[in-house]
Amino acid sequence: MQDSRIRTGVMVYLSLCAMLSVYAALYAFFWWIVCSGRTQNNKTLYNLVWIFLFTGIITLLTWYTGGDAISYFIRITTVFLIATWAYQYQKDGDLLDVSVWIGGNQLGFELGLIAEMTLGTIRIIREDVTQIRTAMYLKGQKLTISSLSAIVSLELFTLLARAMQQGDLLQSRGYKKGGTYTPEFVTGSQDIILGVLAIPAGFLLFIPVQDIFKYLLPYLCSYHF
Amino acid sequence: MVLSIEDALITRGSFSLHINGIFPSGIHLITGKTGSGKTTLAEALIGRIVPEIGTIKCTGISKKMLAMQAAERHVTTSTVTREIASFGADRDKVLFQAGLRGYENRQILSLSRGELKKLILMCILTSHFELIILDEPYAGLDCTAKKMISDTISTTIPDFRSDICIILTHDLSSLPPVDYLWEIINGKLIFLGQMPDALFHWNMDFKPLKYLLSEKITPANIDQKSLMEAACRIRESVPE
Repeated sequence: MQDSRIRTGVMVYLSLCAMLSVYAALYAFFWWIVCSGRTQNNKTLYNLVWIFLFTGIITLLTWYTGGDAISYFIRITTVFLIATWAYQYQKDGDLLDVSVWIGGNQLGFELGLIAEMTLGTIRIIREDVTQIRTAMYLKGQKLTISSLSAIVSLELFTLLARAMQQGDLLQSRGYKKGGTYTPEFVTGSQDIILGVLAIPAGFLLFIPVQDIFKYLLPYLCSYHF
Repeated sequence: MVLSIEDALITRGSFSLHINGIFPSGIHLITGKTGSGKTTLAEALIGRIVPEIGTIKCTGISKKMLAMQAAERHVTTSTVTREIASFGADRDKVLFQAGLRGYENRQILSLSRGELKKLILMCILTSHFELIILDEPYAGLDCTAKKMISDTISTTIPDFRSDICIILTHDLSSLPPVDYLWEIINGKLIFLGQMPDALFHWNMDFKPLKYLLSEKITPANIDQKSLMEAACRIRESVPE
Protein backbone atom coordinates (compact mmCIF):
# COMPACT_ATOMS: atom_id res chain seq x y z
CA MET A 1 0.00 0.00 0.00
CA GLN A 2 1.64 3.22 -1.20
CA ASP A 3 -0.64 5.93 0.18
CA SER A 4 0.38 6.54 3.78
CA ARG A 5 -2.92 8.36 4.50
CA ILE A 6 -4.99 5.28 3.61
CA ARG A 7 -2.55 2.94 5.35
CA THR A 8 -2.56 4.95 8.59
CA GLY A 9 -6.34 5.42 8.40
CA VAL A 10 -6.94 1.70 7.85
CA MET A 11 -4.58 0.84 10.71
CA VAL A 12 -6.30 3.17 13.20
CA TYR A 13 -9.82 2.25 11.99
CA LEU A 14 -9.33 -1.54 12.06
CA SER A 15 -7.50 -1.42 15.39
CA LEU A 16 -10.31 0.58 17.00
CA CYS A 17 -12.96 -1.71 15.54
CA ALA A 18 -11.02 -4.79 16.69
CA MET A 19 -10.72 -3.44 20.23
CA LEU A 20 -14.42 -2.60 20.44
CA SER A 21 -15.92 -5.81 19.06
CA VAL A 22 -14.72 -9.36 18.73
CA TYR A 23 -16.71 -9.76 15.47
CA ALA A 24 -15.04 -6.68 14.05
CA ALA A 25 -11.73 -8.15 15.19
CA LEU A 26 -12.53 -11.36 13.28
CA TYR A 27 -13.35 -9.30 10.18
CA ALA A 28 -10.10 -7.32 10.60
CA PHE A 29 -8.23 -10.62 10.91
CA PHE A 30 -9.71 -11.84 7.62
CA TRP A 31 -8.89 -8.46 6.07
CA TRP A 32 -5.29 -8.98 7.21
CA ILE A 33 -5.18 -12.48 5.70
CA VAL A 34 -6.63 -11.36 2.36
CA CYS A 35 -5.34 -7.82 1.95
CA SER A 36 -2.10 -7.37 3.87
CA GLY A 37 0.06 -8.72 1.03
CA ARG A 38 2.42 -10.24 3.58
CA THR A 39 5.34 -12.26 2.34
CA GLN A 40 5.89 -15.84 3.45
CA ASN A 41 9.45 -15.33 4.51
CA ASN A 42 11.21 -16.37 7.70
CA LYS A 43 11.08 -12.86 9.14
CA THR A 44 7.28 -12.71 8.84
CA LEU A 45 6.94 -16.14 10.43
CA TYR A 46 9.32 -15.08 13.20
CA ASN A 47 7.20 -11.97 13.88
CA LEU A 48 4.02 -14.05 13.90
CA VAL A 49 5.47 -16.52 16.39
CA TRP A 50 6.39 -13.66 18.73
CA ILE A 51 2.98 -12.03 18.40
CA PHE A 52 1.15 -15.30 19.16
CA LEU A 53 3.54 -16.11 21.99
CA PHE A 54 3.18 -12.70 23.62
CA THR A 55 -0.61 -12.51 23.29
CA GLY A 56 -0.87 -16.18 24.30
CA ILE A 57 0.88 -15.54 27.63
CA ILE A 58 -1.32 -12.51 28.40
CA THR A 59 -4.40 -14.57 27.38
CA LEU A 60 -3.44 -17.32 29.80
CA LEU A 61 -3.06 -14.77 32.58
CA THR A 62 -6.44 -13.25 31.68
CA TRP A 63 -8.03 -16.71 31.70
CA TYR A 64 -6.42 -17.51 35.04
CA THR A 65 -7.75 -14.31 36.60
CA GLY A 66 -11.24 -15.02 35.26
CA GLY A 67 -11.36 -12.58 32.34
CA ASP A 68 -12.78 -13.11 28.85
CA ALA A 69 -9.59 -14.69 27.55
CA ILE A 70 -10.72 -15.85 24.08
CA SER A 71 -12.21 -12.48 23.18
CA TYR A 72 -9.06 -10.74 24.44
CA PHE A 73 -6.81 -13.07 22.43
CA ILE A 74 -8.71 -12.46 19.18
CA ARG A 75 -8.86 -8.70 19.61
CA ILE A 76 -5.30 -8.03 20.77
CA THR A 77 -3.73 -10.45 18.26
CA THR A 78 -5.59 -8.72 15.44
CA VAL A 79 -4.44 -5.29 16.65
CA PHE A 80 -0.83 -6.53 16.71
CA LEU A 81 -1.13 -8.07 13.23
CA ILE A 82 -2.59 -4.87 11.76
CA ALA A 83 0.12 -2.79 13.45
CA THR A 84 2.85 -5.10 12.12
CA TRP A 85 1.38 -4.84 8.64
CA ALA A 86 1.36 -1.01 8.79
CA TYR A 87 4.91 -0.90 10.20
CA GLN A 88 6.14 -3.24 7.47
CA TYR A 89 5.21 -0.71 4.79
CA GLN A 90 6.28 2.37 6.77
CA LYS A 91 8.81 4.60 5.05
CA ASP A 92 10.78 7.54 6.45
CA GLY A 93 8.60 10.67 6.36
CA ASP A 94 5.25 8.86 6.10
CA LEU A 95 4.03 9.95 9.52
CA LEU A 96 5.12 13.56 8.94
CA ASP A 97 3.26 13.51 5.61
CA VAL A 98 0.03 12.25 7.18
CA SER A 99 0.31 14.46 10.23
CA VAL A 100 0.85 17.67 8.23
CA TRP A 101 -1.97 16.63 5.86
CA ILE A 102 -4.34 16.30 8.82
CA GLY A 103 -3.11 18.97 11.22
CA GLY A 104 -1.34 21.55 9.06
CA ASN A 105 2.08 23.13 9.44
CA GLN A 106 1.77 23.97 13.14
CA LEU A 107 0.24 21.20 15.26
CA GLY A 108 0.46 18.62 12.46
CA PHE A 109 4.13 19.33 11.88
CA GLU A 110 4.90 19.13 15.61
CA LEU A 111 3.12 15.80 16.04
CA GLY A 112 4.58 14.43 12.81
CA LEU A 113 8.09 15.38 13.86
CA ILE A 114 7.67 13.71 17.25
CA ALA A 115 6.25 10.57 15.59
CA GLU A 116 9.07 10.44 13.04
CA MET A 117 11.73 10.85 15.74
CA THR A 118 10.10 8.14 17.84
CA LEU A 119 9.94 5.71 14.93
CA GLY A 120 13.51 6.56 13.99
CA THR A 121 14.60 5.75 17.54
CA ILE A 122 12.72 2.42 17.44
CA ARG A 123 14.58 1.53 14.24
CA ILE A 124 17.91 2.47 15.86
CA ILE A 125 17.14 0.33 18.91
CA ARG A 126 16.22 -2.60 16.68
CA GLU A 127 19.48 -2.25 14.74
CA ASP A 128 21.48 -1.84 17.96
CA VAL A 129 19.94 -4.98 19.45
CA THR A 130 20.80 -6.97 16.32
CA GLN A 131 24.40 -5.71 16.38
CA ILE A 132 24.80 -6.37 20.11
CA ARG A 133 23.54 -9.92 19.59
CA THR A 134 26.16 -10.32 16.86
CA ALA A 135 28.86 -9.01 19.23
CA MET A 136 27.77 -11.45 21.94
CA TYR A 137 27.76 -14.32 19.47
CA LEU A 138 31.27 -13.43 18.27
CA LYS A 139 32.54 -13.12 21.84
CA GLY A 140 30.92 -16.45 22.66
CA GLN A 141 28.92 -14.84 25.46
CA LYS A 142 25.48 -15.70 26.74
CA LEU A 143 22.92 -13.20 27.97
CA THR A 144 23.11 -12.81 31.73
CA ILE A 145 21.48 -10.36 34.11
CA SER A 146 24.72 -8.38 34.51
CA SER A 147 25.36 -8.22 30.75
CA LEU A 148 21.73 -7.26 30.15
CA SER A 149 21.91 -4.42 32.66
CA ALA A 150 25.15 -3.16 31.07
CA ILE A 151 23.65 -3.30 27.58
CA VAL A 152 20.42 -1.56 28.64
CA SER A 153 22.34 1.19 30.51
CA LEU A 154 24.60 1.84 27.54
CA GLU A 155 21.68 1.85 25.11
CA LEU A 156 19.75 4.27 27.31
CA PHE A 157 22.78 6.50 27.70
CA THR A 158 23.43 6.48 23.94
CA LEU A 159 19.79 7.26 23.15
CA LEU A 160 19.72 10.16 25.61
CA ALA A 161 22.95 11.55 24.16
CA ARG A 162 21.49 11.22 20.66
CA ALA A 163 18.26 12.94 21.72
CA MET A 164 20.26 15.80 23.20
CA GLN A 165 22.25 16.16 19.97
CA GLN A 166 19.03 16.17 17.95
CA GLY A 167 17.60 18.87 20.24
CA ASP A 168 20.72 21.00 19.89
CA LEU A 169 20.65 20.55 16.13
CA LEU A 170 17.02 21.64 15.86
CA GLN A 171 17.72 24.65 18.09
CA SER A 172 20.81 25.67 16.14
CA ARG A 173 18.77 25.54 12.94
CA GLY A 174 16.30 28.00 14.44
CA TYR A 175 13.50 25.56 15.18
CA LYS A 176 10.87 26.93 17.57
CA LYS A 177 7.44 25.72 16.56
CA GLY A 178 5.93 24.19 13.43
CA GLY A 179 7.47 24.30 9.97
CA THR A 180 6.74 24.56 6.30
CA TYR A 181 6.19 21.23 4.65
CA THR A 182 4.18 20.08 1.66
CA PRO A 183 3.42 16.38 1.79
CA GLU A 184 3.09 14.37 -1.40
CA PHE A 185 1.10 11.15 -1.80
CA VAL A 186 0.83 8.49 -4.46
CA THR A 187 -2.55 6.74 -4.51
CA GLY A 188 -2.85 3.49 -6.43
CA SER A 189 -6.15 1.81 -7.31
CA GLN A 190 -5.18 -1.08 -5.03
CA ASP A 191 -4.94 1.35 -2.09
CA ILE A 192 -8.53 2.47 -2.62
CA ILE A 193 -9.84 -1.11 -2.95
CA LEU A 194 -8.06 -2.22 0.24
CA GLY A 195 -9.32 0.87 2.07
CA VAL A 196 -12.91 0.24 0.98
CA LEU A 197 -12.67 -3.43 2.00
CA ALA A 198 -11.78 -2.34 5.56
CA ILE A 199 -15.00 -0.29 5.97
CA PRO A 200 -17.39 -3.22 6.83
CA ALA A 201 -15.47 -3.81 10.08
CA GLY A 202 -17.17 -0.69 11.47
CA PHE A 203 -20.66 -1.98 10.56
CA LEU A 204 -20.07 -5.00 12.80
CA LEU A 205 -19.90 -2.66 15.80
CA PHE A 206 -23.57 -1.80 15.32
CA ILE A 207 -24.97 -5.07 13.95
CA PRO A 208 -25.96 -7.47 16.78
CA VAL A 209 -24.18 -10.45 15.22
CA GLN A 210 -24.73 -12.61 18.30
CA ASP A 211 -28.49 -12.02 18.16
CA ILE A 212 -28.59 -12.92 14.49
CA PHE A 213 -26.97 -16.25 15.21
CA LYS A 214 -29.15 -16.73 18.29
CA TYR A 215 -32.32 -16.44 16.19
CA LEU A 216 -30.86 -18.02 13.09
CA LEU A 217 -29.32 -21.12 14.64
CA PRO A 218 -32.59 -22.78 15.84
CA TYR A 219 -34.01 -22.41 12.31
CA LEU A 220 -30.88 -23.81 10.79
CA CYS A 221 -30.81 -26.69 13.25
CA SER A 222 -34.48 -27.58 12.69
CA TYR A 223 -34.10 -27.52 8.92
CA HIS A 224 -33.94 -31.02 7.45
CA PHE A 225 -31.71 -31.17 4.42
CA MET B 1 43.25 -20.95 6.18
CA VAL B 2 41.12 -19.32 3.52
CA LEU B 3 37.90 -17.39 3.14
CA SER B 4 36.29 -18.12 -0.19
CA ILE B 5 33.23 -16.61 -1.79
CA GLU B 6 31.56 -18.17 -4.79
CA ASP B 7 29.32 -15.85 -6.81
CA ALA B 8 27.45 -14.50 -3.81
CA LEU B 9 24.66 -11.98 -4.21
CA ILE B 10 23.26 -9.86 -1.40
CA THR B 11 20.30 -7.56 -1.94
CA ARG B 12 18.89 -4.91 0.35
CA GLY B 13 15.97 -3.13 -1.25
CA SER B 14 17.20 -1.64 -4.50
CA PHE B 15 20.85 -2.16 -3.55
CA SER B 16 22.67 -5.32 -4.57
CA LEU B 17 26.23 -6.50 -3.96
CA HIS B 18 27.99 -9.16 -6.01
CA ILE B 19 30.90 -10.87 -4.25
CA ASN B 20 33.35 -13.32 -5.69
CA GLY B 21 36.88 -14.12 -4.63
CA ILE B 22 39.32 -15.86 -2.35
CA PHE B 23 40.91 -14.28 0.71
CA PRO B 24 44.15 -16.07 1.65
CA SER B 25 46.19 -15.32 4.80
CA GLY B 26 47.48 -11.76 5.03
CA ILE B 27 46.16 -8.23 5.28
CA HIS B 28 43.48 -7.29 2.78
CA LEU B 29 42.30 -3.76 2.15
CA ILE B 30 38.84 -3.23 0.69
CA THR B 31 38.04 0.32 -0.32
CA GLY B 32 34.90 1.87 -1.65
CA LYS B 33 33.02 5.12 -1.50
CA THR B 34 30.51 5.87 1.28
CA GLY B 35 27.39 3.77 0.68
CA SER B 36 29.18 1.35 -1.64
CA GLY B 37 28.29 -1.63 0.59
CA LYS B 38 31.36 -2.07 2.79
CA THR B 39 29.38 -2.69 5.98
CA THR B 40 27.06 -5.11 4.16
CA LEU B 41 30.11 -6.97 2.87
CA ALA B 42 31.67 -7.06 6.37
CA GLU B 43 28.49 -8.52 7.83
CA ALA B 44 28.31 -11.10 5.05
CA LEU B 45 31.96 -12.14 5.47
CA ILE B 46 31.48 -12.67 9.20
CA GLY B 47 28.33 -14.70 8.54
CA ARG B 48 25.72 -12.29 9.87
CA ILE B 49 24.11 -11.92 6.44
CA VAL B 50 23.48 -14.99 4.35
CA PRO B 51 23.68 -14.31 0.60
CA GLU B 52 20.58 -15.03 -1.50
CA ILE B 53 22.74 -16.74 -4.11
CA GLY B 54 26.18 -18.30 -3.79
CA THR B 55 28.20 -19.32 -0.76
CA ILE B 56 30.73 -17.87 1.68
CA LYS B 57 33.03 -20.53 3.14
CA CYS B 58 35.57 -20.27 5.97
CA THR B 59 38.09 -23.08 5.67
CA GLY B 60 40.33 -23.68 8.68
CA ILE B 61 38.90 -20.69 10.53
CA SER B 62 37.38 -21.28 13.94
CA LYS B 63 37.83 -17.93 15.70
CA LYS B 64 36.55 -14.87 13.90
CA MET B 65 35.71 -11.33 14.91
CA LEU B 66 34.12 -8.28 13.35
CA ALA B 67 35.05 -4.81 14.59
CA MET B 68 31.88 -2.87 13.98
CA GLN B 69 31.95 0.77 12.99
CA ALA B 70 30.02 1.77 16.11
CA ALA B 71 32.21 0.51 18.95
CA GLU B 72 29.44 0.88 21.56
CA ARG B 73 27.63 -2.05 19.93
CA HIS B 74 30.39 -4.35 21.16
CA VAL B 75 29.89 -3.43 24.78
CA THR B 76 28.33 -6.17 26.89
CA THR B 77 29.74 -5.33 30.34
CA SER B 78 29.90 -2.30 32.60
CA THR B 79 33.60 -1.74 33.34
CA VAL B 80 36.76 -1.45 31.25
CA THR B 81 38.39 -4.51 32.85
CA ARG B 82 35.32 -6.70 32.34
CA GLU B 83 34.96 -5.55 28.76
CA ILE B 84 38.56 -6.51 27.98
CA ALA B 85 37.98 -9.88 29.65
CA SER B 86 34.86 -10.45 27.54
CA PHE B 87 37.13 -10.52 24.47
CA GLY B 88 39.56 -12.85 26.21
CA ALA B 89 42.30 -10.24 25.77
CA ASP B 90 45.25 -9.41 28.01
CA ARG B 91 44.22 -6.44 30.15
CA ASP B 92 47.60 -4.76 30.58
CA LYS B 93 48.52 -5.21 26.93
CA VAL B 94 45.23 -3.72 25.74
CA LEU B 95 45.40 -0.74 28.08
CA PHE B 96 49.02 -0.06 27.13
CA GLN B 97 48.37 -0.32 23.39
CA ALA B 98 45.25 1.83 23.61
CA GLY B 99 47.01 4.46 25.72
CA LEU B 100 44.43 3.94 28.46
CA ARG B 101 46.59 2.91 31.39
CA GLY B 102 44.93 3.84 34.67
CA TYR B 103 41.46 3.23 33.20
CA GLU B 104 41.17 -0.29 34.69
CA ASN B 105 38.31 0.48 37.04
CA ARG B 106 36.56 3.05 34.91
CA GLN B 107 32.93 2.54 33.94
CA ILE B 108 32.47 1.98 30.20
CA LEU B 109 29.92 4.81 30.12
CA SER B 110 32.54 7.28 31.33
CA LEU B 111 34.74 6.75 28.25
CA SER B 112 34.54 9.10 25.29
CA ARG B 113 33.59 7.67 21.91
CA GLY B 114 37.19 7.81 20.73
CA GLU B 115 38.48 6.09 23.86
CA LEU B 116 35.86 3.36 23.56
CA LYS B 117 36.70 2.81 19.90
CA LYS B 118 40.42 2.50 20.70
CA LEU B 119 39.68 0.12 23.56
CA ILE B 120 37.48 -2.18 21.47
CA LEU B 121 39.88 -2.18 18.50
CA MET B 122 42.82 -3.01 20.76
CA CYS B 123 40.83 -5.79 22.45
CA ILE B 124 40.27 -7.32 19.00
CA LEU B 125 43.73 -6.69 17.59
CA THR B 126 45.65 -8.00 20.58
CA SER B 127 43.54 -11.17 20.89
CA HIS B 128 44.15 -14.05 18.58
CA PHE B 129 41.44 -14.38 15.97
CA GLU B 130 42.00 -16.27 12.74
CA LEU B 131 39.72 -13.95 10.83
CA ILE B 132 39.45 -10.28 11.76
CA ILE B 133 37.21 -7.92 9.83
CA LEU B 134 37.63 -4.24 10.60
CA ASP B 135 34.71 -2.15 9.38
CA GLU B 136 35.80 1.50 9.10
CA PRO B 137 38.33 1.16 11.95
CA TYR B 138 39.50 4.77 11.60
CA ALA B 139 36.07 6.41 11.79
CA GLY B 140 35.81 8.86 14.68
CA LEU B 141 39.52 8.70 15.58
CA ASP B 142 42.12 11.46 15.51
CA CYS B 143 45.36 11.21 13.48
CA THR B 144 47.40 9.89 16.43
CA ALA B 145 44.87 7.16 17.21
CA LYS B 146 44.60 6.19 13.52
CA LYS B 147 48.37 5.77 13.35
CA MET B 148 48.33 3.77 16.57
CA ILE B 149 45.75 1.36 15.14
CA SER B 150 47.69 0.95 11.89
CA ASP B 151 50.93 0.38 13.82
CA THR B 152 49.25 -2.30 15.89
CA ILE B 153 47.99 -4.04 12.77
CA SER B 154 51.35 -3.93 11.00
CA THR B 155 53.95 -4.33 13.74
CA THR B 156 52.68 -5.78 16.97
CA ILE B 157 50.71 -8.59 15.41
CA PRO B 158 53.07 -10.75 13.37
CA ASP B 159 50.43 -13.52 13.54
CA PHE B 160 48.50 -11.62 10.92
CA ARG B 161 50.74 -13.13 8.29
CA SER B 162 49.22 -16.51 9.01
CA ASP B 163 45.71 -15.19 9.74
CA ILE B 164 43.31 -13.18 7.63
CA CYS B 165 42.74 -9.52 8.40
CA ILE B 166 40.30 -7.57 6.23
CA ILE B 167 40.14 -3.79 6.53
CA LEU B 168 37.16 -2.06 4.96
CA THR B 169 37.56 1.69 4.80
CA HIS B 170 37.28 4.82 2.73
CA ASP B 171 39.74 6.66 5.00
CA LEU B 172 43.15 6.31 3.37
CA SER B 173 45.11 8.73 5.55
CA SER B 174 46.84 6.29 7.95
CA LEU B 175 46.77 2.83 6.42
CA PRO B 176 49.08 -0.01 7.44
CA PRO B 177 51.09 -1.92 4.78
CA VAL B 178 48.69 -4.38 3.17
CA ASP B 179 49.17 -7.52 1.09
CA TYR B 180 46.12 -7.49 -1.16
CA LEU B 181 43.93 -4.74 -2.52
CA TRP B 182 40.22 -4.96 -3.33
CA GLU B 183 37.68 -2.38 -4.37
CA ILE B 184 33.89 -2.16 -4.44
CA ILE B 185 32.71 -0.52 -7.63
CA ASN B 186 29.06 -0.28 -8.70
CA GLY B 187 27.93 -3.00 -6.30
CA LYS B 188 30.69 -5.43 -7.22
CA LEU B 189 33.73 -6.55 -5.25
CA ILE B 190 36.78 -6.49 -7.50
CA PHE B 191 40.16 -8.02 -6.68
CA LEU B 192 42.91 -5.64 -7.83
CA GLY B 193 45.86 -7.86 -6.96
CA GLN B 194 48.86 -7.97 -4.70
CA MET B 195 50.90 -4.98 -3.62
CA PRO B 196 52.37 -2.99 -5.26
CA ASP B 197 51.04 -4.05 -8.70
CA ALA B 198 47.44 -3.55 -7.54
CA LEU B 199 48.05 0.18 -7.10
CA PHE B 200 47.96 0.70 -10.88
CA HIS B 201 44.37 -0.59 -11.04
CA TRP B 202 43.07 1.30 -8.02
CA ASN B 203 40.31 3.84 -8.69
CA MET B 204 40.29 5.59 -5.32
CA ASP B 205 41.12 9.27 -5.41
CA PHE B 206 44.22 9.04 -3.22
CA LYS B 207 46.19 12.12 -4.19
CA PRO B 208 49.65 11.27 -2.78
CA LEU B 209 49.60 7.96 -4.67
CA LYS B 210 48.28 9.54 -7.87
CA TYR B 211 51.06 12.10 -7.76
CA LEU B 212 53.71 9.44 -7.22
CA LEU B 213 52.39 7.31 -10.06
CA SER B 214 52.27 10.34 -12.34
CA GLU B 215 55.99 10.84 -11.54
CA LYS B 216 56.58 7.18 -12.57
CA ILE B 217 57.41 6.25 -9.01
CA THR B 218 55.74 3.17 -7.54
CA PRO B 219 55.59 2.97 -3.75
CA ALA B 220 56.12 -0.46 -2.21
CA ASN B 221 52.84 -0.12 -0.30
CA ILE B 222 50.23 2.42 0.75
CA ASP B 223 51.29 3.08 4.33
CA GLN B 224 52.77 6.45 5.20
CA LYS B 225 56.33 5.10 5.48
CA SER B 226 56.23 3.54 2.01
CA LEU B 227 54.74 6.70 0.51
CA MET B 228 57.42 8.87 2.15
CA GLU B 229 60.13 6.57 0.92
CA ALA B 230 58.71 6.76 -2.60
CA ALA B 231 58.46 10.56 -2.34
CA CYS B 232 62.16 10.68 -1.46
CA ARG B 233 62.90 8.83 -4.68
CA ILE B 234 61.39 11.76 -6.64
CA ARG B 235 64.02 14.06 -5.15
CA GLU B 236 66.74 11.55 -6.01
CA SER B 237 65.56 11.33 -9.59
CA VAL B 238 65.42 15.13 -10.13
CA PRO B 239 68.46 16.10 -12.31
CA GLU B 240 70.77 18.66 -10.72
